[in-house]
Amino acid sequence: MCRASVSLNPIHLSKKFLERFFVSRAFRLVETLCHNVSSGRGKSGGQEKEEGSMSFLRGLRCKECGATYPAEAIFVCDECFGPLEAIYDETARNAHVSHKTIAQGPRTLWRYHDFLPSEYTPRVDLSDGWTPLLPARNLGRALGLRNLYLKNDTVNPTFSFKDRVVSVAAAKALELDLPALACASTGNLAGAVAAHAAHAGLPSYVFIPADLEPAKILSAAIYGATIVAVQGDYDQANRLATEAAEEYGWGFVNINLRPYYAEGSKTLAYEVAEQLGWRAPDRVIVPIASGALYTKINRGFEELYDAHLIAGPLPKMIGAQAAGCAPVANAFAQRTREITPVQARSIAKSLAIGNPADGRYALDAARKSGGGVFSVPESAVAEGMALLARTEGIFGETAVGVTISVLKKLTDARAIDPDETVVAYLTGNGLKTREAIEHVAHKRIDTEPNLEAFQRQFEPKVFAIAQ
Amino acid sequence: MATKIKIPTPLRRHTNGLATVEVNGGATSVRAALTTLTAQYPTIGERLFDGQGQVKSHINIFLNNKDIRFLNGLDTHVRDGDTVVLLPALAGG
Repeated sequence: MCRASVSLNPIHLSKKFLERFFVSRAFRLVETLCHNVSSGRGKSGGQEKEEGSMSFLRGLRCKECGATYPAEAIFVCDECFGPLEAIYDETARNAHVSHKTIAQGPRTLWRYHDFLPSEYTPRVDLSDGWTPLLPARNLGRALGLRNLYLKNDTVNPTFSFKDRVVSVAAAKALELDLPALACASTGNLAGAVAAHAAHAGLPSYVFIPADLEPAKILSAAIYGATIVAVQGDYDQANRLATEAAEEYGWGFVNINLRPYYAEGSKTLAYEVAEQLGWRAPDRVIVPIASGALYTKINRGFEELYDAHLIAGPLPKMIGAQAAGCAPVANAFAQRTREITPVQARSIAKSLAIGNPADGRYALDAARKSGGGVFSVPESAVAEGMALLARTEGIFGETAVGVTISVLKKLTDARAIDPDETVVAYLTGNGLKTREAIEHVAHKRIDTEPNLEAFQRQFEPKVFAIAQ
Repeated sequence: MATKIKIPTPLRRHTNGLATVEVNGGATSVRAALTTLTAQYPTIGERLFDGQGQVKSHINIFLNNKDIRFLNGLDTHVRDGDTVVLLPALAGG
C-alpha cells in the first residue's frame, strides 16, 4: 500500500497510463501523476502515492474518535468500534482539480475520479452515472415551483443509484485483490453488485431474506450471482453477511468496503452542480434509508465549495422518509440528537432501515444546512409515484414516491420559495416496485373488437346524440 | 447458567483473541452478562460503554437474534444457553 519509491520516468509512466486510460487523456494524466507524487512527498503523515495511482485517497479515519487506518477492506474502528470513512489529501486535490479537468473526463461518474477513493478500471465501468438532470416544468407548475429539476438515476445500468456506489467499491475490491464481490440487500444493491461482478469477471454472493420478491431475486441471479437466501428478515441477512465478511474475505460492498462504497454517492452532488453550470441548487430532496446517500450528497457539495468549484451558499438538505419507517424524521421533529430505532413496516422497502447507521450524521447535516427531514403517510407513497409519472413521464420506485410526496408536503405548506432552484433525486426505477401502484386507479376501456362497441364506451354523449 | 457472548473481530484483541466468551453462573440480564465480561476483560468495557454507563449508540446488541432495543434493553432477561451478539451499527443495501 505504501511504496518506498516511485518511478518518475515519464516514458514509463505514460505507457502505463495509455494501457489503462482513454488515449486522449494520457498526457494530462502523466502531468497529474507527477503533481500527485510531488505533493505527496515530504508531507508529514502523508502517504507516498503508489505508482500509477490516480487517487488522492490518504486512508481511512474513524468518524467517532478520529483514529486513522490504511486503506484496506475494513469498516470499524479498532479503538472505539465507530464507523470508518475515506480521507483525502484535500490540499493537493483542490490545487489540481478544476472545471476544465473535470470536463475532460468521461461521461460517467468517473469524471470525478479525483474525488473518489478508487482507481478507475474499465472492468467496473458499465457507464454508470452522468444521468440526466431534467427540468420539471409540469410538476413544478403543479407544485408552484419555477425552477424544479429531477436528477434521474432511474436510468442507470441496473436502474438505481446503487450502480454508482458499486462501481467505486468494485474498483477498490480489484485494487485490493479480493476474491469476490458480495452484499446484503433487499433489492437494488443485489442487482448492481451482481452486474458489476459479472462485468469485472468476479464471482458474487448476494445475501437476501429468503422471502424477497421473486422478481428481485431473478434480477440478481441472472447475472450469475450466488443467491444466499437467508431464512430470516433483512437485518438477520445483514448480520450473517457481516459475519461472513470476516470469515471469507469477500468484498461486501456495504460492509467491509463500505467506506469506499459510500463515496460513490458524492457524485450525485458533483453532477448536479456541473449540470446546473457549476452552481449549487438552493435545496435538494433526498430519500433516507441508512442516511448514507443523504450525508454523502451533502459532503459532495461541501467538497466542491472547498475546492472553489462552486460558490455558496450550500443547498438546504431535505431528507424524505415514509411514516412506516421514519426514525430520522421523528428525531428531527422531536429536536433530539439521538435516533430511536423503529421496527420498519413500510411500503418503501428500499428505505426500510429501522436503525440507520448514519442517522445522527444526517440530522447534523439537516440542521447545519438549514434543511430538515420529513415523513409522509404510507398512502402518499404511491400518490407521489403517480404524480411524477403523470406530470413528467418518469416512473420511479417507492423511494421516489416518498421523495416527491415530501416535496409536495413542503410546497403545500408554502415552505419553499417559488423561485428556489430545487433538485429532487430519483434514486430507483419504478419497474422494481410495481406492486406499490397496483391499486392506483388508471384510465381503462374494456371493449369488444368493433368500432361501435368502442364508441359506446368512449363517446357515450356523442353516441346518444347520434341516436 | 452459561451465556455465550459473541465478540466481533475488531474487539477480539480485548478478549485474548476469543471469538466467543462464555459467561458462567448468575447472569440474569444482558447488563449482568456484559458486566461479567468487562470484569474478565476490562479494556473491552471502554469500547462498549460511554461515560454514563450507556451502550454507545453505534453498537448493536442482539439477544438470540433480537435487537435488545426492542426487548428490554440492557435489563432484558437472559436464560441458560442464550447467545448475546455484539455488532457494529448495520447499514443498508
